[in-house]
Amino acid sequence: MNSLPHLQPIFEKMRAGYHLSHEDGFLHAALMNDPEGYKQYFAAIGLNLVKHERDFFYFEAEERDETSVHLPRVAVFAYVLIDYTASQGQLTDSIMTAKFSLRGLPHFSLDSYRAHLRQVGLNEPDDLKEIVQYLARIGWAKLDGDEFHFLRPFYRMFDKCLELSKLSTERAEKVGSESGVVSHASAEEKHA
Amino acid sequence: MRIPLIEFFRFCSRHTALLRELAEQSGGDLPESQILELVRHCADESDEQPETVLKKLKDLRVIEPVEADPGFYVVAGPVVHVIRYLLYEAKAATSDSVLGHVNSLEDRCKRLNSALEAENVTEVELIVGDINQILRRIYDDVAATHASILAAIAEFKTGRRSISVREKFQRIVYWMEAFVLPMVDIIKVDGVMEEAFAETERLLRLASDQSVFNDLGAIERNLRFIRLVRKHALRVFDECRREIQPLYQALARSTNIAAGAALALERLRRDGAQHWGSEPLVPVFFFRQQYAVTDSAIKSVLERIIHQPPELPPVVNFNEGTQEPAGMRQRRWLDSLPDRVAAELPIEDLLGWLTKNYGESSTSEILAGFSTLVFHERFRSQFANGPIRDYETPDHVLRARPVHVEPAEK
Repeated sequence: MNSLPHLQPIFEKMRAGYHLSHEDGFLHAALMNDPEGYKQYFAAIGLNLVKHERDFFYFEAEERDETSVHLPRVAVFAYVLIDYTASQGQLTDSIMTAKFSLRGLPHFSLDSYRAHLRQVGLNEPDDLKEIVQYLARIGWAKLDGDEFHFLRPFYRMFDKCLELSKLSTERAEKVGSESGVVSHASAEEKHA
Repeated sequence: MRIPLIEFFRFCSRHTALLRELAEQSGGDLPESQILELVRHCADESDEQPETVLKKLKDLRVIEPVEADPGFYVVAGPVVHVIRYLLYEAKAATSDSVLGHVNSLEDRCKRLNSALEAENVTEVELIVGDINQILRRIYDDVAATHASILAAIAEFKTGRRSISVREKFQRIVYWMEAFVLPMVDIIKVDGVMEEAFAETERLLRLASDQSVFNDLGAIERNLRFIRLVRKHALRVFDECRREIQPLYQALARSTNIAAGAALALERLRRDGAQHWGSEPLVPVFFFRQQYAVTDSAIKSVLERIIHQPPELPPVVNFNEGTQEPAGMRQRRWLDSLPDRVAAELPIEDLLGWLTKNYGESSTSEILAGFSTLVFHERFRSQFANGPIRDYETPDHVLRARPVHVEPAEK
């Protein structure tokens, strides 16, 4: 007899890629209560339950789904939003506390953004609704009519940005050292 | 020449806007024409003539002539300081200027030491006065830097001007690197300022103990001032560091996040979606479920096995037989037909000819022969005008109109 509560609803939600966060009330509370117990339980059936440092949970994808149309669209959607926010002089983390309107999104405001979006098949502002609906399905956003806000699991996109930035710096340093150029750490890395 | 205080402050009270403008333009020298223009710009109806105001500015030494460049003026430094102080628009002192004061303090300490050894009361008195001035300047510089850093942070937090996160980050980095960090290096407990203060304290106490300098009040005042400056400087820069540090970290994080996003988008622009790869994507789990087979599926498989029991595979005889295979025999017969027919052309009724000459052949063989001959390149076939006839084969009776065959070249 297993003592972990709400196993079935937790599994039912997360098997489709859903990220469980504070918004999910008692299911999230159950996971927070014994994250290691759930991790071991799911590990026995081959699933890796990840507890993010910001206290949300998801199953780790073993291999990247190359055929998914959603993942590249979500990535471009997020990168454009981050780029726009930063260029407006706001901290990128402000995205997490802002409330967005589907009609007020900046994605089609610049030619360069439109070109990026077209690359992944997002041609009209209406196409963005489908992305936000997908984000809501995986627990990254909460959609309420025409408005939505991001939930904590969206921090995974920020993590990815930091990873890409770090990788880029490391690659540049590697190229620099291989070509004999002395590289200097950027100011932000030096002090961060 | 002394400046009449009452007249000076009355003038200032009537021309605050002009003084503020002048303070903002105090970065370099100003031609007289530009000063006159400022006077006119800031004047209201009750004001005196611009030329009169300009004269007063000169008389009260709000502006001072540049000796090497006639017709040009600079705003007097003390006036700028007063205005900035009043408007709380302090300019940060650089670490170099504070370090300069600390060096001056060290120099005075050496002199004080020598004067104490020589028991030179006059020099001790002068040096104690100097030390007081230096401490005062350090205190003022630290306070001004604190005020300007706080102002910069407040402007950063409330500024509505749209500048990118990267630019904001650069500003904060500049403040951090130009003012806070070097200043902390100077004033920290094991830094040069503390060392100079300790030596000054020691020498002042020595002066007091040796009774070389009898103004004990002045010595005590300096000792208190040292404690005050030390405490003030440490507190101020610790506060500055704590004010800037969270901003600094938040901006560094935002800058890196924005840089990552920009990199991913640039790669998308350069390589296209096909070659974007999976590196910029965040993988999301998807459970690929394979259902267990149902009872009906099992039942149907079992039924197929029951109704089609396994049987032995057919045995292929690879030995050459004595009898010619039926397929080969028919092929040879079909190949021989054209020559045979050609010898008897024209034939009025082809199907009749075939059933007559090959009466033992089956219907399929007769029809195969018929179609071979009708479409053969050496012959031309057409329906004859005769009535429909019956043709008997061993297994069927065929009904057809007669077909006439003749050589193609005819």
